Amino acid sequence: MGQYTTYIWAAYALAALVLCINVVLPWRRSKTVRRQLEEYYRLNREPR
Amino acid sequence: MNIHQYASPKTFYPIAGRLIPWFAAVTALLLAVGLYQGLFVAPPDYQQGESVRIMFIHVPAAWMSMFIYVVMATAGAMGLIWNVKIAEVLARSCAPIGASFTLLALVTGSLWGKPMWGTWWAWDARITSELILFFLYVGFMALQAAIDDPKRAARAAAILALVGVVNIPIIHFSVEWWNTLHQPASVGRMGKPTIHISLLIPLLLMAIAFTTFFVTVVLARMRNEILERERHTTWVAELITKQS
Amino acid sequence: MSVALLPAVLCVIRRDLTVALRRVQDALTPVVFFAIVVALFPLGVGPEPQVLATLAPGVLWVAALLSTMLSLPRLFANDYTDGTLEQLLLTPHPLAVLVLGKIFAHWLLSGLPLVLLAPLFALQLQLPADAMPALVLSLLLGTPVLSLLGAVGAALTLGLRGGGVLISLLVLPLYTPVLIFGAGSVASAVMGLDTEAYFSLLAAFLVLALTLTPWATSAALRVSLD
Repeated sequence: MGQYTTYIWAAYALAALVLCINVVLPWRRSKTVRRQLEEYYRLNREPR
Repeated sequence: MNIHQYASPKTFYPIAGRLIPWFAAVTALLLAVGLYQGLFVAPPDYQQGESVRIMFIHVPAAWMSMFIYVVMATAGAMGLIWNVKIAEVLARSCAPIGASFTLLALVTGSLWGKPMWGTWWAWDARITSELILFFLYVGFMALQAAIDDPKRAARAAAILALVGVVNIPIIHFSVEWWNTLHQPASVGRMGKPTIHISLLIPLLLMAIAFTTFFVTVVLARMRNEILERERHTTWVAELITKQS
Repeated sequence: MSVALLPAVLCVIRRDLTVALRRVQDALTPVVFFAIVVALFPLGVGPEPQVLATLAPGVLWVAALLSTMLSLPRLFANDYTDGTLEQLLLTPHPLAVLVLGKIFAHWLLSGLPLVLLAPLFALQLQLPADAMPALVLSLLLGTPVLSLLGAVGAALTLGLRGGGVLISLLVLPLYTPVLIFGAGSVASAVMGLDTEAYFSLLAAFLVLALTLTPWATSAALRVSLD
């Protein structure tokens, strides 16, 4: 792609990075939320 | 089952869970086709040369940044007016995704500008409005982060989003006006290009792919948000304790 | 016994002015801030009259933006802590109208002094005399919009930790149109161009802000005091 190769690949790499971050963050958060909630219910035996 | 029941977090949670794989699959397919079309099939533009390929990322990202803000403001308004919990959750989940697309549009615009305009940053009308849009997203998230009570946070942020959505056209128009007056001499203006069909196909494919991607991740974020907000309900308690 | 709407609004304005004038130093801080910001620019960019004259419209307007923003937390904060705001919410009058009265009082204290004193500071920045009327008129039309939009931000951040920084994050992006047309009108007056379009647009912003922001502000106050 000639003289623009670096810029084009940089743009696509950044796009890939943004998409990945948007996938990874909710996924990791769902794990932490679930872990926190398990802890929460263990401590409060009787949920309302 | 009517629409109100779909809007209840309890029903929405499993439906979203079932929808996510489908949207993810469609996204993957569209991205694959779009990337192939954009990187290998589409011919170089006669004016911009190969650098037009950056546009296949930049333009859909910029579209998404505005689309998501409108979705966020609409959801915020629904939460505010009809007190729909799911709408509040949706508005909150939109913001980080929208902000990331805005940032992507800004950075890819800069990567396009360097070879085409010879500068990383030009105070071009669209770039400037996009930058202000990014600040609006950051403000929305900062306000929500500053308020602990989720109900109050959602309502305050919704008001901000509505004020922002009224302002965005005004900001855009002002920046256009300002830009025509202060046209930087070093930045050559491209003539209004009429887009060729061979470039339009990858552009639209990527735009649809980004949209389905947004739906996928927003559903995932909403599920997390629902679990946190509904922790006092029995259904979440059952869901979590059954799993462990 | 209930009071009619107009006397109620006048009462709100008079009260806010009285309270503010009891602590004059407080009321003067934004003006002094404006003066300092304007004085900093020549120190930063050098004293060449040519450079200063080209920068003057932008500098004056940015300084006006910042000094308005600085005065925003004061708009509701005191009334929030002493409970006056809750009393306002309980009155039978539409909150949006009472809020408009408060915003007007705020503008009288923070916007109007800027409008009146801006020509003095403009002289320091070598702004040509021909552009003075444009400066005053643009500030006269623009600063109320800043107060009105800022009131939404002030109401939203009421009682939050880090409210001061947060308010700037919320409000400054919304100020960009006013900045563009305010500074633009002065700049084109310097160049001897027609400024009517700028003033029409600033007036349009003022009308729009007058009709919409009091509602947004009162909605935000209800959320904050919930």
